[in-house]
Amino acid sequence: MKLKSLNSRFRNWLALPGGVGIFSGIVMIFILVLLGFFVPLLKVRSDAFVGEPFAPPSFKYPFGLDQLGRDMFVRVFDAVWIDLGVAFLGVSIPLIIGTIVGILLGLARNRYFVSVMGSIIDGVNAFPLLIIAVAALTFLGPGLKSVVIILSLTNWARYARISRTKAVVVVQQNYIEAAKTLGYSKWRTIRKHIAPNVSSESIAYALSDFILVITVVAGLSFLGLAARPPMAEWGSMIADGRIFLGQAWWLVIFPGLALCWAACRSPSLSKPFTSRSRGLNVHTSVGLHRRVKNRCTTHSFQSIAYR
Amino acid sequence: MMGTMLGATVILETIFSLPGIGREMVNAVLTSDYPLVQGILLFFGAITVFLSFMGDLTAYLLDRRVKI
Repeated sequence: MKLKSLNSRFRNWLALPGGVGIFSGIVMIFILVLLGFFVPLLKVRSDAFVGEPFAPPSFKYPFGLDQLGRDMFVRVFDAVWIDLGVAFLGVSIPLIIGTIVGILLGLARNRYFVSVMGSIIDGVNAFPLLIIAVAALTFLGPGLKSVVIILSLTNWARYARISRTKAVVVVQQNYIEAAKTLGYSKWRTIRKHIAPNVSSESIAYALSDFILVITVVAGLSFLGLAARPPMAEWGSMIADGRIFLGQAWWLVIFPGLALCWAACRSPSLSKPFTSRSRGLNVHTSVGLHRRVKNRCTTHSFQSIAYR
Repeated sequence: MMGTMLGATVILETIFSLPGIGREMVNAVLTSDYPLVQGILLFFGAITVFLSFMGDLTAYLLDRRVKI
């Protein structure tokens, strides 16, 4: 009985715009994370030498062996945690910083402060990310930790710009006025009424930013600046295998496929989220918005207005 | 957009072994040649400022209502 109602709820959710996209995106990431978790457990360590170098893909080693005789299958899936972990940190830290800065700028009344911060945000946004990352890695020293630091220092400005634009609109809405009239403290108004509405937009952008961050991390590893050699990472694996491309195609193809698989999932997730966060389906969509709606009743005014 | 393209030169020049400024920068980073990195960074900054200014000018030429 319960299973049946769950099934029908799932079918309803899937029928909403973008439901299939979100579902397939979640399944894709789930497969990758699952393989990344179990493959290193089942087999040998990623830096162990298991056989003859350049052994082609066979039944025993599905992805072949690399130039030092390490199992590519284990290495490709060992890199899942590193790549997705760095991408997750590199997206979520700027997301939090940028949203907070954007909300504060949306609330700020001092004209000079707003214009100075606006110029800082524009300045950080204008400079190419990859070049500033390469330059900063000189001073911070190569490594994945430095990559996360650089991403946090540069990427927050984009989120700040998005959430400031949204916050300026949200602050003028009626439900914020209502919250003020009810005598809620400023902190509560920000936390429960402004932040959920502002963050929906920047979270949707963050999901599509994932693809960019994965590419930047892989690109920096490709240059030999992010992941150091014994560590398995898709970008550095492609860089190592590139030299032997003529004799061993499996060194480049499989990390590249894994990279594409990880990146393809982002647009299928982000586009439905963007359309849903615009309020088209605030009442019926699950997860994010249902939680937001239950938290404070004033949001239902907004969702009625959008319908 | 031009900024992203400029950033991509760093990787492109390394892939295809083109003797460009991006590859020079990566080599400078790998050998910890700080003054060279600073110089190239300044140069890239100048290019970025120039290109965004040209972008604004083009926007003005195409649509006179835009104010610079």
